[in-house]
Amino acid sequence: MSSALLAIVAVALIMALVGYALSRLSDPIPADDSPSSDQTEGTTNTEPNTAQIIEAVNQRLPQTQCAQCGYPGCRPYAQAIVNDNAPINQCPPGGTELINELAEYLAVEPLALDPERGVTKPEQLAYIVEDDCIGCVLCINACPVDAIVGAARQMHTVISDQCTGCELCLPPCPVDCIELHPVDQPLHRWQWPKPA
Amino acid sequence: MAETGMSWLSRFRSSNNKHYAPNRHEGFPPIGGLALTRNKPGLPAPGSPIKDICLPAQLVFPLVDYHKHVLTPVVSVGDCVVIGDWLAPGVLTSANGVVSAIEDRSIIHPSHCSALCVVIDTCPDTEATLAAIQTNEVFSSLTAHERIRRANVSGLGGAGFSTANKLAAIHSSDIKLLLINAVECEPMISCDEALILSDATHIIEAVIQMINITRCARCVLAIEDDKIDAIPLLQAAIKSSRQSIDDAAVNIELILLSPIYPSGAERVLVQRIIGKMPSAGIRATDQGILCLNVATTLAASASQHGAPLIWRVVSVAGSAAAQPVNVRVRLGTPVSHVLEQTGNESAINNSGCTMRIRAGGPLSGFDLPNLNVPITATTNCITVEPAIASEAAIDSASACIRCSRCSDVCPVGLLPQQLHWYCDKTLTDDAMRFGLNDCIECGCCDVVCPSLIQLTASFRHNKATLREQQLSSQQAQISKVRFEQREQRLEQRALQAQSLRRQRAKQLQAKTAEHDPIAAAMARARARRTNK
Repeated sequence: MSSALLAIVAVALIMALVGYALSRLSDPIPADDSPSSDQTEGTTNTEPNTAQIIEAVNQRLPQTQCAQCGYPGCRPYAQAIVNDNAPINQCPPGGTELINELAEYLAVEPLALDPERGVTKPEQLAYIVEDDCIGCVLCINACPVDAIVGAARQMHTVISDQCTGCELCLPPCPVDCIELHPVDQPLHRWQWPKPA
Repeated sequence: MAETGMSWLSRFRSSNNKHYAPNRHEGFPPIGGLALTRNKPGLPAPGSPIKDICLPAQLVFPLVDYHKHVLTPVVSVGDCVVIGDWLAPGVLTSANGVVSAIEDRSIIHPSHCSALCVVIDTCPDTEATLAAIQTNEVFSSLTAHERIRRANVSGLGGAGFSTANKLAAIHSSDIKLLLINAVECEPMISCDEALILSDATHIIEAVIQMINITRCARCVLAIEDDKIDAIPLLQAAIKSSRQSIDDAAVNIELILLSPIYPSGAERVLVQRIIGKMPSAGIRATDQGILCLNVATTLAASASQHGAPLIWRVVSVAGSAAAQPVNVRVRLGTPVSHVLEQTGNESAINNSGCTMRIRAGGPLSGFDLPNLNVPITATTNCITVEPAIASEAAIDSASACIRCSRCSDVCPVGLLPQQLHWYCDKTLTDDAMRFGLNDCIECGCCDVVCPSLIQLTASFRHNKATLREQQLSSQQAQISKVRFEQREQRLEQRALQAQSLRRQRAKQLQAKTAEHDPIAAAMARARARRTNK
């Protein structure tokens, strides 16, 4: 009887050891992606502080700086979400994907996108019709990412690599010479389709 | 189960290759891969030249680089160009002629997208062109590397990476191994073998020239052992080169590999030659290995005499091809012209209905959108196949049963079943951890999968999605930084304006204090009183 018990215990022990070893081997990279791992050495509290949460929320926002959320940019919106409990469904460029991501990170219920704020649009770029531009500098001042170059009474143009398509340059233009163009998928960004 | 266990062991072993005594003439055993039946139709008889395709009336040159970024043309419509003239940075014309259009045309690409192309109405070749390049003073002062760049030599094995850039990525004193790749492992593709059969002596001369240019410590010419006609030719050429040159430094090791697909892929070939696969994210050049395809070597050698890369050998094969053949084609030639000249007129007429024309071999290739697409340096093979109902294959895909056959055959030692699991659930981080980006998309796992899962297609899709995500997060990061910089600037400006305002107010106050008429009158009155 005791030998049978011994055998069971021995086998259970070996199994546990082998199981532990295998589980360690299957995961060679230590899985430590909790917010506390972002902290610098020396800090003792494991909870991330408010500034870190704001930064993490801001990282998830699309950085179009379009102000459709009602705040003057992505960082102000992130601050409002964390400090003032602003709803997480006010970012049309981020869309449902962002709402789900934020809901998961902040451990709150995901909401449907607030239709008052706008709709999720495909990627777009501002384009200045150069013949019509009068060089008033108003759009340059409006651009949240400094993506328009030009000078007073000189023709302006958009740096397309840096334009976020936020539409903030449209209202100040006195001659309506700014158009929004959809971004054509360039060949180098072509993706293999998902197999059926 | 036993099979799985063995393969696990063998994979373990080949990563610590102490157990295997490396046979210098057979290379190291592969990690995975498939032993496919040899199917190399259309090879020329040993010693006979490769058929030339006549120059078409129009050549088309896509203005895209290796990464498929669009290039800006340096010619305009109506310009006359001669062989070797730049059309855009990195694109040369392969014939004399006149630029007739610069417009969007369809190109050989799996997306079936079109790209900006330069169209040239060709004129017959003249002998004077090459002589003009050679006698050019600028050309004679160029170094070997610059000549390769001037000739626009790029990888002719199928990847199309610029040879000059490859050489630039590696310091010439660091080249430990020059690896000449004659391992053409995919069925149907036989252009490199045809090149060896037709002109082995020139190839060996080219290899020797590359040895002299790179001053490498070791040079290996790798070829599969089933190319029985090509091997004796190469051996004879190496022997005669030793006799004629009598240079102790020149030693070409001919390594005969067992024919396992995809041993011709750079990473896999490096593993089979030095016994260790480069780690994830490390290129062969980072390890001091310069890997060049035989045709590329020949082109790089020709570039030293001023000859630009203007043609390549293309295999025309496939079960529905009239006659499989290897032909020398001018770059930019439309596929339809090649098919016409090789007796495949019926394929042109029936393309899309009863026949499908593909670029590349059966494993790595893809269907062509139409037959006007031009041949580029990466087009090694055109296959003509009878059309099949492709839906049939997709419909019959069933769930993964985790038989692990895919991991047995994976030539880079990945676990495709695990990758598939993560890709299916869009757990990209986990897929990355299991080496999604190391997948060379060879298609071996698709071939062996009993559930007919399109593994490679799924990996390709997920790799592309991941790249796109990285790109957009980079873009977001740029916008974030620019927004923050702007906010900082505005804040600073506001502060400056405020301080300026305060300063002015203070100055004004001081000024009024100095010349206050009331205060002055009171002071005068006080002075008068005290005087009284």
